Order: sequence, then C-alpha cells, then structure tokens
Amino acid sequence: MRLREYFMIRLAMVIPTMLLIATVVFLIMHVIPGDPVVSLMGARAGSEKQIEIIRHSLGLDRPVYEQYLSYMGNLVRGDLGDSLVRKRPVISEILTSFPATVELTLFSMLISIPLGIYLGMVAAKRKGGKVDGIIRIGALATWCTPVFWIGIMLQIFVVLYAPMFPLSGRLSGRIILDRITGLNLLDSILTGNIVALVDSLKHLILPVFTLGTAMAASLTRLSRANIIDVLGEEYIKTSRLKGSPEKIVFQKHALPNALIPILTYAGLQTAMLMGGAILTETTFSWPGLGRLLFFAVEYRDFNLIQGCVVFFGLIVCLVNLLVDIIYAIVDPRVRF
Amino acid sequence: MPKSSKIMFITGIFLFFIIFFLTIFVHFFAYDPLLTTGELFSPPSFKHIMGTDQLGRDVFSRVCYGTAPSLTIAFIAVILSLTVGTPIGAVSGHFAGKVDRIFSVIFDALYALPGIILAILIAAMVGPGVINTSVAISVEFIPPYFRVVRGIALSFKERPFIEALRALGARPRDLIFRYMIYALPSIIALMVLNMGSAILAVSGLGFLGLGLPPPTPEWGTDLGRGRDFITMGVWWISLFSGLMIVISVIAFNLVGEGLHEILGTKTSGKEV
Repeated sequence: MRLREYFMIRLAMVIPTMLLIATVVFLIMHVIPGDPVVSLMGARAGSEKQIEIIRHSLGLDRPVYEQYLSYMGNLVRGDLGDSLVRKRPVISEILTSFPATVELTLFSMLISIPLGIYLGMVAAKRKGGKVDGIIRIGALATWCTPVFWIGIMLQIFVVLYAPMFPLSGRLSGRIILDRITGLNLLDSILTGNIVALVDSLKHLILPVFTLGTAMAASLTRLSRANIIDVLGEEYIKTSRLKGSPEKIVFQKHALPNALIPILTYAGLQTAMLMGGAILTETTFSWPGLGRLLFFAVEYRDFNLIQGCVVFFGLIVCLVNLLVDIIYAIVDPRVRF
Repeated sequence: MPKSSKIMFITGIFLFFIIFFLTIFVHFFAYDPLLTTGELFSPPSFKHIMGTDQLGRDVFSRVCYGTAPSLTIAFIAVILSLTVGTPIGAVSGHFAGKVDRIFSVIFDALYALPGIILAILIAAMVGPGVINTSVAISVEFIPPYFRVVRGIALSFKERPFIEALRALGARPRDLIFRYMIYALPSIIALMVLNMGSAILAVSGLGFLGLGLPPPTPEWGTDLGRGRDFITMGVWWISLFSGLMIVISVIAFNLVGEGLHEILGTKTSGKEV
C-alpha cells in the first residue's frame, strides 16, 4: 500500500493503544487493595470524618465505573487532574519537568547510538577474535550492571579523584538562566549566556555518560548480531565474488541492511531509555520526569503518579509511531 | 557449540554455584548482618573485609545475607509471570482469530510501559514485602512468555500430526497442553534470563526505597542508602552491594544464553 495510507492507519492505531495504556494504569491504581486516602495522609491521618471528606472531594467514593468514565473523559481533553500534594494541575507539573528528561535522553542517545553501532561493527568484523571477545564480554557486563550503580561509581570516582564535576542537579544555584525551551543548553545558547552553557555542560556530563553507556550495551550486542547475520547473506557473497573491495562490500551492502532492524529496536529502546532515565535522574537529582515520578511515589500523590505513567506510555507510543513510519519509508516491503 | 560460548556457559554455572553456596552456608562465614558494632563507617580491613556501614554493620555480611531476599523475590516473580503468560499464550495461539488479536493488543500496550515504571506503580500501590515486590516485578515479565508460547502454538497448530490428533478426538485443552510442553525448552531458557532481569528490577526498586523494609539486607536498598555517604568518601557500602548485583546477574545471563545455544532456541532479540 502507499506510504500515506500506512501513515494514516498507523497514526489511528495510536489512539486505542493510548486508551488501553490509560485503562491499564487506572486498573492498577484502583483495583489493587489499599486505601489511597490513608496512604496519602500518612502520619497526618485524622479522624474518620476527615478521611471521608477528603475521599469525597477526590471523588473516590463514587462507583468504580463512574470514576473510570470521568477519568477517561478528562484524559482525552488533556486534563490529568490536580496534584494532590502540590495542588497544581498534573499536566503542568509534567510539562515543567519534561524538558530536563528530553535533554538527558537525547544526549545519552548521542553517545549510545554511535558507540553501540561502532563497537558492534568492530566485533562483527573480527568475529571469533580477541577483540570480539573483549567487546562481547564488556557489553554483557555493562548490560548486567544496574544503571544506578554505574552512576554511583562515577560519583565515587569524582569524589575521590576528580572533584571538578558536579555530582547532582542541572545548574549551579548561583547561575541564572532565562527559560525559553526548558532545554538548558539550547536556552543558554539562545540567550548568549556562556557561563550557564559551561555550567549546564558540566552538570550534563556524568548523567549522560551513565545512561549512554548503559544503553550502548544492548545496542552493541544487537548490532553485532545483525551485522553477522547480514554478512552471511547471499548478496554479500555475490558482491565479494564480483571482486568488490571489502570496504565497499561492508559499507555499501552490509551496513545499510544491518542497520534497518536496529532502527526498529530503537522503539523498544525508548521504553528502556525511559526506565533508565528514572534511575539516572534519581541518582543525580536530575529534575526530570523520572524524578518527578519518584517524588510522586514517595508522597503517595496518586494523581501525579497516574499522570506521569500515562505520559511515559504516550512518549513510548509516539516514538514507536515515528520509528514505524521511518521504517516504512526506508523499507518499502513493510507496509502491511 | 563454539568454544567461546562453552567457556561463558561454564563460567556462568561456576558463578551460579558460588552464589548458591553463599546463600546456603552464609551463617558459617559471615557476621550477623543486623548487628550494630560501634565502628561506624570503617573502611575495608581484615576484620571487616568490606567495611562497615552507617550503623556499624558489617557490609560483607549484609551483602552475603542479601542474596537470599533478592534471589527469592526474583524467583517468585519469574514463576508468577511464567504461570500467567504461558497458558494465555498457548490459548491465544491455539484459538487465533479474535481472541488472539485481543490478547496481542493488550500485551503490546503493556510493552509500551517501561518495566521499571510498571514495577514502581504496582509497588507503590501494594506496599513493601516479599510477595508484594514479586508481584510488582512479575507483570513486566509476562509478555515475553506470552509471545514465545503463542509463537510455538501458532507454528504447531497447522502441522499434520496435530490435525491427526484433532481427528482422533483431542480436546482443545489437550492440544493447548501439548503446545506448552513443546515450549518448555524456550521457557526454561527464558526463565533463567528473566532471573537476571528480575534481580536488576528488585535492586532497582530497593534503590528507590520501594523494596523490602529496613533493616532487611538487600543489595539495591543498601546501595541506595549508601549513596548518602559518598560525599564523605565512604565508597564501600554502595560499591560492594552493587558488585554482588552485577555478579549474580552476569551468572544468570551466561547460563541463560548458554541454554539458548544448547537447546537450540532463538532469542527474539527483545530480551537482548
């Protein structure tokens, strides 16, 4: 089918998926036993009367299906409710924190994608050799390491041997930066604020290195496997028999074909990236969406928890959509 | 099986046995993990090989005693996801059609939610505890079992001998049972690999403070608590707790991948 039709259909599929995700989140939050109001109030819990009043104001005493309908109704209008702890709309809390996460994940991908693909390439070319073994072991060890441990190891290293990098946060307290996009690097460039630029970069280094390395591990293994598979294909043999120099065989025939499946994997990687971002943000006190979710959980702010999780699901969905479209553009066989 | 894979597999088994040994015989060579001595924050020494933590407890003992909780939770979680995912996958693959579409769509939506987020969500709702944490983690691991068993069911469904069985009067539940049996090698390999990921998930929850309540020794929790003291130069709490996580996850991954090669099953690429 034509590309435009594929695009339309694929776009339409996002909506039911999103509704499903929102439903799953709702189910988890409302069907699991445990009284949200009591958890919310924690040590400040007052009399039965107080609990009842709060429960009523949150609408938690209505029947479940009624809560579900109003939840979904609000959701499609972009209303995620109000944060129970901060008394502000959930959506504005999320949008305030989101750019920080974007900055972190974008720069992490800037490291992980080239690094992963390059290492996978090297390992595939020298398959069975010492270099291949080292890369495989390194990738496996990194894949098996919790991302927060990598972060903490880096922090320890900085504390003990290189006390010039900041351990946490996004910007030093004494620096003032006008907020345009919310992306500190971009804003500091746009406003010509060199001090802020340098400071932002210094704060970015450790978290990005942490998340980037963690993500590079799986990419290395995947690209290595893919390139090895492609190198065994018939058309590669043909190309070699034809007399093409090895360099052309590799760069022009093998690599493009191997990279395409890796592209689909990018969609799945997004889910991993979001998960890794939460842990990285907590480790480095990076004020992004992941840390927001963490605080929401700590304070039992259920509306905020719900909103964050749904938002994460939305991001992953949209990235998957983008990846599918790109895939369909690149590989014409794939349009349903 | 290529030599390098053999080496990795044997290494994995070796590590696995060390960990197993550690868990069972821990009483004989470690101190009480809850015992607070007066020596707070003492760096690694002959008396305390991994130093002591903020309450003077021996880190080495905590790390060793922490094996049991982490592995137990991971194991329960894997069993749970297996129990849910396998039958649904077999049923879905057998009946195909609408039933299959519904389940596939549900599980695809589940895939969009990053695993740790799902675990955080559930753990926040149900609270701490061994079973609670296991349940929280298990949801994330259900889809792979569903996919694998469904794939096997679909591929076997059309085969002539299955048709013959049907003609001989086999009921759907007999066939579904068969599919699950045929899926056993894949399931076992998947289980071992999932154990690795489950341990990472447990420690992740512990790190965020959502795991087992203190003072239970758990790698992730200790790692997280140790974080507060890094600026003081106290590196041993977090480092050694994390090291154990890495070693055990590597062990399970090596064994799991070796199993994949031995049993001839393929990784779908999604667990990579």
